Amino acid sequence: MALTGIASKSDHDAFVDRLQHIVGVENCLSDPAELFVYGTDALTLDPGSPAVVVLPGSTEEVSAVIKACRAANRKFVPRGAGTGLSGGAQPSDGAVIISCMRMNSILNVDGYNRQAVIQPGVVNADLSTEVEHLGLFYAPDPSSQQACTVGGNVAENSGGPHTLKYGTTTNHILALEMVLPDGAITRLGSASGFSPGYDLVGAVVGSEGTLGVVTEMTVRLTEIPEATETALVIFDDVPSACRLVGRVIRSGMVPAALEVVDQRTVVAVEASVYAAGLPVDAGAVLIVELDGAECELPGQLLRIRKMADQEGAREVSVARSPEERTHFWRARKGAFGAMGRLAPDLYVHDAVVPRARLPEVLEGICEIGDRYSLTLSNIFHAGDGNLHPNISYDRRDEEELKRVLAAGKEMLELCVKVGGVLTGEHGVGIEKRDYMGLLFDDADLAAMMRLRNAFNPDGFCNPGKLIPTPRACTEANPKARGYDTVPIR
Amino acid sequence: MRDLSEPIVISELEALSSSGFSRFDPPVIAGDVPLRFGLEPESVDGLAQVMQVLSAHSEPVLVTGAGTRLDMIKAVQDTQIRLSCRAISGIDECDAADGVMRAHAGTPLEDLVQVADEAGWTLPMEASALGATLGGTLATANSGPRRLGFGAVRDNVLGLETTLATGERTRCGARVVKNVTGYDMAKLYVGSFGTLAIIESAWLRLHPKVESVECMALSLDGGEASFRIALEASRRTSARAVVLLPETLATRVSGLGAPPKAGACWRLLVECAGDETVTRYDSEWLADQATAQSLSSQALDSLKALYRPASPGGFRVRLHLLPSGLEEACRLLDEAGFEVLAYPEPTTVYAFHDPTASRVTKDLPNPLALIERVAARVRADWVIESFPAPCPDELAGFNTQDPQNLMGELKMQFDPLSLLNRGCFVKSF
Amino acid sequence: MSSAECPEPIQILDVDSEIYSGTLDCVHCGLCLTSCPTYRVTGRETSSPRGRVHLMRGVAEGEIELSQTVADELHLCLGCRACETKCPSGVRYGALLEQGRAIVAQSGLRKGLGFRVEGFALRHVLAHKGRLKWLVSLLGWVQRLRLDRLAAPFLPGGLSRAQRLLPAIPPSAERERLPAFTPAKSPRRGRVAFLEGCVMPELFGRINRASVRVLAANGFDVWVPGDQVCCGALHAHSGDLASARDLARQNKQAFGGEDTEGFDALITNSAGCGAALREVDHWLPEGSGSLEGKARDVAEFLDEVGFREPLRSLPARVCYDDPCHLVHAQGVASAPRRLLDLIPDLELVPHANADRCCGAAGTYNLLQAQMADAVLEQKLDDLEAAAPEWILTGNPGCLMQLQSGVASRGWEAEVAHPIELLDQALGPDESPVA
Repeated sequence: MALTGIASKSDHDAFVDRLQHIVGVENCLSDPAELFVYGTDALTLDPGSPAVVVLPGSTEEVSAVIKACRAANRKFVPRGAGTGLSGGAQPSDGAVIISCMRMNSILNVDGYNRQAVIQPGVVNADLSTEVEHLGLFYAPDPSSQQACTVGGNVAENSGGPHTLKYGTTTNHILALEMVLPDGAITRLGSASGFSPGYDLVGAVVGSEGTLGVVTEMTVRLTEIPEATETALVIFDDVPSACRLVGRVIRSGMVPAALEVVDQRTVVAVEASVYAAGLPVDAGAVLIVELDGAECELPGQLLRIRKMADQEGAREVSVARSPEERTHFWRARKGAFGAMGRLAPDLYVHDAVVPRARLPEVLEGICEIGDRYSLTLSNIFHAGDGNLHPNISYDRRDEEELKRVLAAGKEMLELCVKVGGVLTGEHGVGIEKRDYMGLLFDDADLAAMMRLRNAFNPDGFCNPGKLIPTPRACTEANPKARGYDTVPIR
Repeated sequence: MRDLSEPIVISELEALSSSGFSRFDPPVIAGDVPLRFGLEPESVDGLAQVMQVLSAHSEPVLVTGAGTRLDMIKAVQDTQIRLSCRAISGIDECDAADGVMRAHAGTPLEDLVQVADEAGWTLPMEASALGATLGGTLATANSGPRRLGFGAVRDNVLGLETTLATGERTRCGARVVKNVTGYDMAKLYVGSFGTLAIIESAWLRLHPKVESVECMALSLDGGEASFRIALEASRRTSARAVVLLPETLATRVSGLGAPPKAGACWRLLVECAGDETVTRYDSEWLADQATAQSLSSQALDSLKALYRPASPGGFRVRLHLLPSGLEEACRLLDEAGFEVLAYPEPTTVYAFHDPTASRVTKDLPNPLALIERVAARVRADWVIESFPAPCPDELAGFNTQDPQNLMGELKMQFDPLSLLNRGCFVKSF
Repeated sequence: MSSAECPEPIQILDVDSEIYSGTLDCVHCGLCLTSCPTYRVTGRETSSPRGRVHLMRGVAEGEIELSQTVADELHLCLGCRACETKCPSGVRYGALLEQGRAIVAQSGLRKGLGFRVEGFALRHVLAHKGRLKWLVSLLGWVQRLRLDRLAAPFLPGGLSRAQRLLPAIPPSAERERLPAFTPAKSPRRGRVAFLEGCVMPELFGRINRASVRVLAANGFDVWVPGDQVCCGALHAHSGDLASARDLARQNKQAFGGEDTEGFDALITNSAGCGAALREVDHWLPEGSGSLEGKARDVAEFLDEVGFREPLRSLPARVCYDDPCHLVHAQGVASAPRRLLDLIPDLELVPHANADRCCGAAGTYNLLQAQMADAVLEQKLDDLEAAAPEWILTGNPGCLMQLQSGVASRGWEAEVAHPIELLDQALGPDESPVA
């Protein structure tokens, strides 16, 4: 009887059964409502529909899930907390989402050697909290750090305000355990920071989940600096703030962070739970954070003040307590979400330009925003030249959406024209996949395809991301096994 | 070995007007690999043409820069042609406002250092030998004692232009200091010893020039505290380079001078760089730890003598390990008779084997086996950095376990005919 | 629920509904995720605030059905509203949840004995002081005769849980109602009204009396109108907005209708009630009238007006665990801590995640046992690291939940309301703490 029942089930049901058997019934989601919420990450432009969502609890389960997917000819998409802004975790229709949220243990913390072994679902900020008593922290601090996972950070090579001094995720990952797209478990890199041969860890970090599923990471921990000073430099306009940034860069100082927030953003944040008392009448606020030995900061702060005066800053105020500093940063990091106060949807752009070109590029971006009559706000990691023009819109208004996309493309073209790139920390994903041609020609993309082919030759893992189309790729692949052909929806 | 006494490829190459061409005499370099012809394209187009011809004939080449560190290549198989990138040189741009620089692969590193310096910046890379090129330094990911402050080579490469084995030219990265547009291909190429692609030019990140540099030498007794001091020194705010070496070795390096304290067994060299307040603060801290003395800022550069190719029959091994294993690694290697030099963080220990002056225990005939044993004990990853003697076959590739053969797959993808430095890194298909 | 009993208009979750426009405030940034206890346990987007808001939006836009899964997820939510204090976009999650649950209730998707018992108890017992008193007396006898222990092995899961959660029923003398008026015991500073609550006088009368004593000692006349009723919070949370409105209207009347000039503040010592009183404006189409803005938590009020010292020394190690509906719904976090800091020799030890839910969440710990336990275990782990002698919190549900947690781990720590320690520190005649 039972056998008849199973035999009469559709292939899909049998596949779901198989996955349930691997991860447990409660960790395998296939109800339409459950699948619906996994349709996007934080990029909500165009949701996809996954077939199943699984939440494996171990490396072995991930491996078994992947093997089951291959046996059933299903593509799969790794996912962390879903806070990514380029659609890296967005499922192609019918794909299986492998959520790493249950693999969230800190397996080992080694204070002496300053490293930790963690699972991919560990939340970025939780890791820093966990090691704080050792005088250490995990340096990469994306704005979503209170929710995003380190696994997701590895996929996207996430940055954050403190990238300026401490580098991005790639500078803090020593070794990885990953499940390759054929289900094999492998280890890359070494806790010593060196492993003979190619820098495979370097290649996997920032690969947007297209080379396999990372299941364990050995991360570098950084000493909490002896002293920190955070100053707010208030300007009447954004270009002046950018000019101060240029001066600081040339001065030889390496601040921990140089962040510019424009007026529209300040107003939105100050209306939110993250209000920090930033002046809502300022044209721009530049957050300068200095850290290091206690003895060196007063001198640096003095130099900042002097340069700020020369650029016509209205005021320089220094955080008087760690609490006040925390408030500044909470305000800065809550800024994206606060834009929800302006419109139902937010398109967070991400591009990088040479730091010296910031003032002119910003003027150009504002001109584009005005020309398309869009609500534009700017908040950016000025020290890295990493811009985030944010467009507030309502995706239900199709005509507005068209303008948003057209303006976004023009902004990217402007950045590329001055020597910039399409993304500094959010990744290409599906959002910028079709803009890759602005920066790279076919041969460049084919070289990237060669890397993908070494890991993910038949494109089962996170299809449709990062590299535009199969053009030139089949040609470049000596094994020519065919590629992801999932179109952008 | 194939007989290439009269390959057609040579005449075709000679016909290429844009590439310089030379014949070697004597023909042997790079261990026992007999090289017969040398090519030195003068432009990136010339390089592309050369590779097109070579790939059409499936003719492998040894890709080099100035050739100062051919000992690191260890061995290449079936190769008769050396391709030097030295003539593809020149600095295109040094952006003083932005702190980035673009230069071609053949440019000697010392030229880059000077141009950066004139622009008010510091090139965060160190040449292992006079004349070493940018391309060679990137391909070998060769860093020096200032890695602590400068970061690894890979950390300062923003973008690359490369020529693939087919002669196709590709680009990755850009001139900006933060970038996740596409795969991080530069990480893959840097340190790949030219086995995946030939580096043509690079965008480099420069570091701000510091206000003050102070260099100190400390005498340590070799006790447990010595290694603790060495590690703590590396973790000071302004520490840019920290080198720990036994006094026996230190005295042989001219330029380091006499030990700060007679009779000590280890010497710690520390270079502090930063604002004057902080270098002074850190120097004072150092002086409190042990008998110390100031050195000139060039003192560290005199260590370069130690990184030269090992003498015939000898070798040099580099071990990478966790800071907690530093003391044991130094002790075990020292006891076994190797000359040792260590960077406390990122923890790196060099073991030198010189057969002419070796103290290596006689009852262990194979010194590499000894290294292997120490490495296993302190859980170190290691690599033979210089091995000028004929290389044992099992060392021609890697001392690594790569169960999924991802490295082989990569080589297959980028250089399916295995033309670039065949046998190096990935043995064969 | 039959339609005859439901005077409310049937709400439909569509693009014209109030819920839908509320869901549009969410930009999907995800900053709320880790503040959500159920998400922390399951790791599922569906059981996260962002997921639940998205579910409601999806139903409204017709992308998904209002299915059992949607209903279950809305009820798996603890309603702790921790997400609101993390939401930069200002999504009013608590309100969305209540409205969403009301729609679920109307759709008949709430099934099972537990829910039906809850609905009955809320409407027919909790809302009527007399019936509640009678029931609690009965339970008191059951406990005294040890019938509960005898019956324990035979009780269905939900009931045996309730039996474990229920603290010892105080003797009837301790369950007397508060006097209608208590005069200030020191130079008079003002007059306050006091909300007794429904469960509080029956199970935690000592806390109510302590609150009144402390208020009086601080110079306030305390007025306790006799015709006040349950605040309606539990009804609203369970999706029974109709009953909640009913109760809110009765209370509005009891506390003076449109004339509230007679008192400075309406004091509660139960976080859930306080949050509900502050929501009345959203519940009632006609608004709460002059009651608006008068609701204050007892700790918040005392901190605002300034506590009259001196206080006696109470050497003890205490942890203060924020009730969700105080910290997240009312934004009161530092006031209770500041008051406790006034007590000489009292050591207030910080513990991790003090502002995270303990799993009580009104009737949640009875109806969603498994999740409530998982959330409680995390709370106990955090508390264990701080090793307190006293665990303080300001809400009856949390008091019971933490008490049962302390018992399950065999700790000796006492669970109490902060006002009880303030009361002790005021009274020189009381025996020393612990």
